[in-house]
Amino acid sequence: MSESSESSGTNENASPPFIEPTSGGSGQCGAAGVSRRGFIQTLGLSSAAAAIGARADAALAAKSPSQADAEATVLGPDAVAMPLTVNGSRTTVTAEVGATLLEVLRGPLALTGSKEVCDRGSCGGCSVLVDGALVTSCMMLAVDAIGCEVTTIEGLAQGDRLDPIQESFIRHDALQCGFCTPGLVMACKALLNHHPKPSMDQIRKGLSGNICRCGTYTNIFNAVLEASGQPVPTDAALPVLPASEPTSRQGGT
Amino acid sequence: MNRFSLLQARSIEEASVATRTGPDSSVSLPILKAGGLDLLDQLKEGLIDPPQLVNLRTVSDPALRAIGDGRFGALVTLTQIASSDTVRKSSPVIAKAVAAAATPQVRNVATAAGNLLQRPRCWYFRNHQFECLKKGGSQCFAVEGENRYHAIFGSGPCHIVHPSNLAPALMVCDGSVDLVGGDRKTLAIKDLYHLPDPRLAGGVLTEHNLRPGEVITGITFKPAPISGFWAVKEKQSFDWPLVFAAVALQLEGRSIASARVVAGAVAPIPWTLPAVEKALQGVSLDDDAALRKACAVAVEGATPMSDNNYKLALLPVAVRRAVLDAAGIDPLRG
Amino acid sequence: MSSSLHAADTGPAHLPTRMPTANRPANDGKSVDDDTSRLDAVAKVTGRAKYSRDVFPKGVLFVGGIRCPWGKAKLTSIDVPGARKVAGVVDVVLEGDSGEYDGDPIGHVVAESRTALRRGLRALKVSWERLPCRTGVESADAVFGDAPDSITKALAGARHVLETEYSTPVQTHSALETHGLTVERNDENVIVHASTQGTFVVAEEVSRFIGVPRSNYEVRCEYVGGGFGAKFQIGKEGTWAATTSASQKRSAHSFCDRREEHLDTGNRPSMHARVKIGFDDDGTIRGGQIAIAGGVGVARSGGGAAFPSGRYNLGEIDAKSKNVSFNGGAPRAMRAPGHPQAAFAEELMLDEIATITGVDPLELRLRLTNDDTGSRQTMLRLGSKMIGWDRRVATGSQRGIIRRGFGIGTTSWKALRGPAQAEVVVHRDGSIEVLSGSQDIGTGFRTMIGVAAAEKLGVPLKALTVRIASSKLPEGPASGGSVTTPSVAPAVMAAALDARTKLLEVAAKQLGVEASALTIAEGEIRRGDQRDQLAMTWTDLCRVLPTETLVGRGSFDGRESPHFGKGHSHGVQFVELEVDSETGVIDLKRVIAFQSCGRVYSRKTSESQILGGVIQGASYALFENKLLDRRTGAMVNPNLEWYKILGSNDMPVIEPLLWVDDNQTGPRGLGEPPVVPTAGAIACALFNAIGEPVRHLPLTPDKVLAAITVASARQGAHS
Repeated sequence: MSESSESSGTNENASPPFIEPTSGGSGQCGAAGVSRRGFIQTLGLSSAAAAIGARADAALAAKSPSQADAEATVLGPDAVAMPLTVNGSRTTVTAEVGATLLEVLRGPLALTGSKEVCDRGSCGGCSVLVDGALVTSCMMLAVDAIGCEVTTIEGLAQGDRLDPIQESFIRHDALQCGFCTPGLVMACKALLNHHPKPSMDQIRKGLSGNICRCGTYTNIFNAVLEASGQPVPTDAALPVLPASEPTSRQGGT
Repeated sequence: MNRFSLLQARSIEEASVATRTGPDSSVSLPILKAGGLDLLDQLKEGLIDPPQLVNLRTVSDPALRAIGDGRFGALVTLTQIASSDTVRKSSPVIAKAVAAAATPQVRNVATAAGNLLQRPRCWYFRNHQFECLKKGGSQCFAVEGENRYHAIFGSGPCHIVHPSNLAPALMVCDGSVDLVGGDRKTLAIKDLYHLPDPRLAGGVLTEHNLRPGEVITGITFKPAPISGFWAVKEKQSFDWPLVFAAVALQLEGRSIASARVVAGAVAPIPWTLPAVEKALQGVSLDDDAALRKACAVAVEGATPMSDNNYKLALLPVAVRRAVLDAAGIDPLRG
Repeated sequence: MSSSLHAADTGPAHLPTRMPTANRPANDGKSVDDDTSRLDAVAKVTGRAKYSRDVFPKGVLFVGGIRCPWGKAKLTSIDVPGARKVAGVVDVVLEGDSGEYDGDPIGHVVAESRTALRRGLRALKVSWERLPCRTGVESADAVFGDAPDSITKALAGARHVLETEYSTPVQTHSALETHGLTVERNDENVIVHASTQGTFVVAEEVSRFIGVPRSNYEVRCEYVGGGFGAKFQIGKEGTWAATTSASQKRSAHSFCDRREEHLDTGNRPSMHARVKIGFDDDGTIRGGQIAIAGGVGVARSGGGAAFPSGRYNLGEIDAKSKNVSFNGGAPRAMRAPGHPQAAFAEELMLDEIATITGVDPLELRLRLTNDDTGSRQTMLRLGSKMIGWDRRVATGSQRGIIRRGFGIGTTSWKALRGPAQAEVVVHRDGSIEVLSGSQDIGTGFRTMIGVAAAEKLGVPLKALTVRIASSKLPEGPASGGSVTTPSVAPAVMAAALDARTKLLEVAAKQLGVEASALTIAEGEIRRGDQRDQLAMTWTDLCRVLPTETLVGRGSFDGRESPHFGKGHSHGVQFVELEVDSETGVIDLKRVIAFQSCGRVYSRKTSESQILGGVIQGASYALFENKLLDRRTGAMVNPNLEWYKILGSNDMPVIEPLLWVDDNQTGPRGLGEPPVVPTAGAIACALFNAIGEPVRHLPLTPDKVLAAITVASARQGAHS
């Protein structure tokens, strides 16, 4: 097992925070970090078996039934190699099957932009895109991301070119302490991907899986409106609501 | 977290066999994993320690992920159901119930079958330090404890509310699950759950009636074009409903010819309201007083706990508004 | 009104959420005209900002607490050898054998990885014997007592007497980044990455445990994911990081998980208030008694509430206060400690008085407000027009399903400050640094001192780099009491002026003129203010600096400075809401929030502070409650699923209105005042809508429905 890690001064994330190779057979004495470009050998599993995801692997389909039956489709309980595609880069991580996508991102992949806040999928702080769908990475097994395109906050900007939603966030000060910001930027991005010109109602509901404790929602709404090319409120006179205008926000959908 | 292996199932049959037999020398059987949201919560809270999870996401059968007329596959996500034109037209209550559930992140991953089979959110159940009845312990801590979100019907000795938004909505559409892995090929949703009665099979320890090896492959339902949904929530962002109602109507002009009404978040199982269904027969949608009278019947037989009496006020409101929603009438504006 | 915006809505028309400053009718048309974006915005929106929670040095050890899970319990068994056998577990340290609250730590585990840590903790198979415990405060009856004679007289002479109770729950800070330290050890040199509100507080506290002298460690906290008052101490989790690193001679990462964060990192204490207040028909308040019991968990102090607040003339008040202990986590200062709970009770009490006397609550407040500057009175008048106070109908007069209510709350924050130092460093290549060791926990502090320095130095903001949050940088206060910016800004301004003076001396010598003949403007050395009066470019000047760096130093002694905002930070909030009278669910429609804060250095970050305060206040009013199981004392909602925090779909439209005072030469505190009035204003608006006050937070549907029932019965009795 080759060991590689990205060195970047004193804060290198070379530590594998969750890998526990307890059986001697794997020959692991300390797990590897991540090679972004190279190949890492899998641990005695066929590459086909290791790469099974929701999108069927053509190689497996081509195998004869007896070969396929004999293939180990059981991963773990020792650490396994997981080929992942994160922010357009193919990479392989070695981890136990119980490792969450968030743990893999923050640990061996050193992508600490996605945050661990509640670790129960209740607050959206760990939100990433998996095949374009917004998910809480703390509640997804890393193995379930095999074969998928994972996009994290780090993958949004292209070098110095920020995504329009990021620029709007800055312009509208849609952040304070910044800890919820990656998750919310991803949630806004997912929202705009599905609703390029979202209504206020769609914005409020689209972001309802993300918590901000500092209280940035107002400015986030404006950032989304701007990024979607819709007018950000600029009225001079404060409008006044008519005498009785009930809301249908509650109750139904 | 726990140490377990993951069987990347290639077929439902393989998954079924695995949950019936399990790996050698294991004390407990493997557990099916679809979206994994509920499972991961239980693993992280230390509620379960299975030797193996059986991954259904790796099964590539397209039928599991398809939405058709009156049917969707077991692995269809809540997002797919909520945004399906087919479902929204044929049985709007189902689309609405699912769209109101949880958060966008959850809906993108959570599956239909997983939603039906998820375990309760009761904070005594979810906290492993409480050895409650449902976990094989000796008492229900909600009884003399914090029970504001617990059941007002059908409860005792355990007082959970069933957490699925989808189940009541399917029930008013005569929903059923398709099964493989056992003798039964299909099971009506109304028969999918049991009360926490120690005398019943499964008793308090489980909520649903599937046997080891039985796997849901799809959900079938009848069209219910005149159907509606109403949930009352404390918080309009991520929150579980305090009470909700799913309703399907057959109309004759402006009169209700017949109604199906099932309530959620009020009982350990989706709670049918036959008395309300009967009372609604012949009621005109424009007769507010008669509607209210019929819906008031919803709380007959309720057994509230020390802190959840307010649910008795909410339930008739949710039912009535779901009826109006079904008829395309805005419950707040008319 | 932009009709195209409303056409895009699928639901009923939602209001615009904000107005730009130029159009904002703040007081007398004074506007705050700047467009500065937060300096650390790029780092935060790209995920590049590294918080202490994100730091994993090579070979780092992970530390986690062993905690009592019940309100009160005795340890009966713990399998330490079993835990030590778990692969990757390095140490198990036991420090106690009993717990006084859910979350009470009795030891910690050290492991090579997070997985090993979790498995080690589980392998301990800790079992406890549960003991009877106290889970809260029932009332303030025990505090109430007899009134002094003068009060008794005042009450006897009053036309009406209101005797009632108010209460608020325990609220947790719930910062999204949990508490903890990552101690990065490189031989005998240590960097302490702290999630903290006080760089120098950590430097001080950690010195006892870190195992190396002060000269060998640096505290860094460049990015902090929220604090709200709870992160002034390193806590148990921080101590363990330090001691583990010292004993193992390795790096250590010790952070609370979300559960521990709710249980044992402090909270806003609960409040039970009992009042007996006498007043006349015109709303004049003669006086009375206010008794407060503050629920302080296992602590013995910290439960006070500022009731009366002093913002209103309440006549002669006998105020008594007592801290009441129970088996829960101890409180810690939380954004405006003692104020939001008190303001809730006080504002609602005023509206009850208004309803009994028939005096309009706005009018009552205008009569009773104590404000020599007249700011709050002006805000009250202006805000009432903006919210459309004339649309408010009499309390208890509505019968429809959806009922609308209006309410008011006020705030006034004294300008506290502490000593601070700062430096402005100019390099030979022309680059500029502004240095302060204090921290930016999301307040925009970094940006504001940058703006202040740039202005005093005479250069554009983008010409300088602000470096903060290190114990190697000049000392400044922790982020509490809204003191940071008001304290550091004067020091920064003095440092910038010092640098400017020194620079001009160099320039003067170079040019052969008097320094007084020169100035620095827009990054140029000029003979006057105008662009055509260029004497020397910045680059040319810096090239001839006598040393590699030119350092301007400034300090502020915490008392006097020409550069700080005088007086109080006044504020007023108006709330408009709707209540569904059949379900008790509240829908916040709109909040107008005036807030003064001295001189505004950065409009956007200042408005964000107001927005943040209002949202936290609203969340407190409607949802939050640290709920302990009444029999066992365990917290039933130690997560973000059932500890409910306001989310995007609960939001009202909020208008933050920066109030510009006259003659302000510096900033005043802004972090805390906006969180004070909101819950009170919401409670008043609810009362207006349904006709009966709900006197106990949070204002959940069950309580609202119960109040509506009372109101209906009363209305029925009168019909």
